Amino acid sequence: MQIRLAVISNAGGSGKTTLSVHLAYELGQRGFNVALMDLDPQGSQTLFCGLNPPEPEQTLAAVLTDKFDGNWPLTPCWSEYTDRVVICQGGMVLTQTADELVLHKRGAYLLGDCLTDYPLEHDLIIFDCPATLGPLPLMALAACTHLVVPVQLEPKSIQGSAHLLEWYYYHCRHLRLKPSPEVLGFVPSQYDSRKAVHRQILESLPVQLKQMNIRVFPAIRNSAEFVNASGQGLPIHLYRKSHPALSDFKEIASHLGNLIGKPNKKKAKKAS
Amino acid sequence: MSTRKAPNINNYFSSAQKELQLSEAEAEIQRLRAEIEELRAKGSTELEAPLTALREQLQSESSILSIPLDRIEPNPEQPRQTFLPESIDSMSRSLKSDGQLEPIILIQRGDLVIFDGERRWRSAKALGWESLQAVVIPEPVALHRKALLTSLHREDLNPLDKAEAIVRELADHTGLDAPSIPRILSTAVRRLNKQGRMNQVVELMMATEQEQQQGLAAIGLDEREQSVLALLLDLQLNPASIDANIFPMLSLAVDLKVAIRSSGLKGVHAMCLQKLSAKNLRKTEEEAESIRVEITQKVIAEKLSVKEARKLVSEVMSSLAASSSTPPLPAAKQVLKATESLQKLSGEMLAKAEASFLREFQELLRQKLAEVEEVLKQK
Repeated sequence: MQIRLAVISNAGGSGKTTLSVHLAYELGQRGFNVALMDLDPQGSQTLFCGLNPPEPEQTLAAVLTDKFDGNWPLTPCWSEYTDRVVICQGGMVLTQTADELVLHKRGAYLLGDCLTDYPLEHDLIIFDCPATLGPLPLMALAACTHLVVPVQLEPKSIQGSAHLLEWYYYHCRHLRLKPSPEVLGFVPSQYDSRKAVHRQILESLPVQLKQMNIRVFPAIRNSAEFVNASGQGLPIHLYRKSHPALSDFKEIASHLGNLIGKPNKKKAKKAS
Repeated sequence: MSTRKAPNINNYFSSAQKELQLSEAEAEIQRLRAEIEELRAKGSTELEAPLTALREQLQSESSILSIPLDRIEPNPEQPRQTFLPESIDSMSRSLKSDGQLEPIILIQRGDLVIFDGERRWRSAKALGWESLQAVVIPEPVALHRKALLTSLHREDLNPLDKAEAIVRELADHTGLDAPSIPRILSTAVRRLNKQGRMNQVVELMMATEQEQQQGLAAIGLDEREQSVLALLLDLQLNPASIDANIFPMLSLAVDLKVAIRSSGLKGVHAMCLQKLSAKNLRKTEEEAESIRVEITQKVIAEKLSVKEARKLVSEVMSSLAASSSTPPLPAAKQVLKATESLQKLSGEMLAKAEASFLREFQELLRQKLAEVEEVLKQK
């Protein structure tokens, strides 16, 4: 079945885009067709995928209009290496979309509506959300089947994630999401085992979350190579083929793979 | 060197946990709502359903009227004869705060007689209201039976009222003499229990009327027993439970019946106080009654549990037994009994008896007289 995964965090720099693109590539490697959707006006995924900034009509903003005709603006990612990952890019034009959403009758449901009216065949759709709890992530919440929360192992980021959970429970009720999207889990990011605070929080976080029946996936280690890879527009898999951080994505990737089950044989749409 | 304190992230998630609980509670509410809907659809509100249907029918056919309280009469056939002040008070409070939620049902019979809603009527009077919303229906057949059914299964009808109402219903329908009905039932239940066939009867409670008739016929009862059991089953009452818990209320001392009706004494408590009888206490009826009334008041005032009440009763009995003169020995008791029964034997009775019996009796008396003389000589 198709999984629509919202990567949400209300703290900046918690590793949303890093997690999104690496999961996309890793799942692509495992034979699944993946569509990335960048809901972030900053359009960071464009950078991480080594693409050029898109024209406004080639972004997700074009989808989220009443004129949308089902022609998804999808661009292949890392096309020299894979044919399984595409992206619907974001950009500054999304700030305008966010403003308009507030007044739109179906506001929070708009993205879900588009995917219902013009379904994509991809096995996994990843919504990379901006670091706020505004209308754009709310739209992702209403459209997703699962959400994953990347957190830095620092008090500010943890506190932010706690607020995010409050927001999640409240809006699942408020938007009457049936079934409610499931919290796939937390993914600690930029873990530096030399820092005491990181070790301590890594130890106590699962205890807290277990009370709410939320899983904590293995931490993704801190490495300068992530930054370097993003500068080259590549996932670390392609930038440093044998980097130890590669193994940090295995468990969550396998979990997603199991949820999806068999890859969809119908050929997914690759480009606009 | 001071140890560095680990950040305490425990408190961060408390609000999120509350939100989660709220979500879970809401899911639970929705599940229960669905369940209620399902039950409603299945019509499992057996008892309220007929009343609701009746009320709906009434509201559609005749409109709801505002009837002055002084035009309304209580129903003499009302099974509930007990209206405790607290129960009227609580209804009054409800009427005052929420108003009248449902119309009362009245029967046109010269005056307007209450079919359903006597408690509301009494409470409205107590509040000084002038009228109540009501629907008026024509006189139904077998009024008592319908009134009985509407209140029989409500738990707040006390067992004494229940017992009287059931006996009246049975007497009306079977033509049996009312006082004999509890005995007929108890004989049948005792025999069926002995034969291990009581369960068969209880199982018939949920059967159709026809199945009940066939089932009872197969058990081998006499005509009177069968008619009593059939009617109880038809009223959805368990004959064994009526025999064990309800009908014994009828033989309670008058003062205990009064306590049930006016002071809210519970049936089980009354049964236990009943042990304070003239016979058990070896007192006159008057003395026993005054002891019983005193203890009953204590039980009510101190809100004793059944266990506590039983303990109190047995304490009273043993203390009274200790204070009275030493009881006669069992052997002496037998003599006393025989003496009493001999005294009861009147000349009239002897005249009616057959000669052969009298001769046997004479022979026995001679033997006993000889024995008595022998014993007395030795003493």
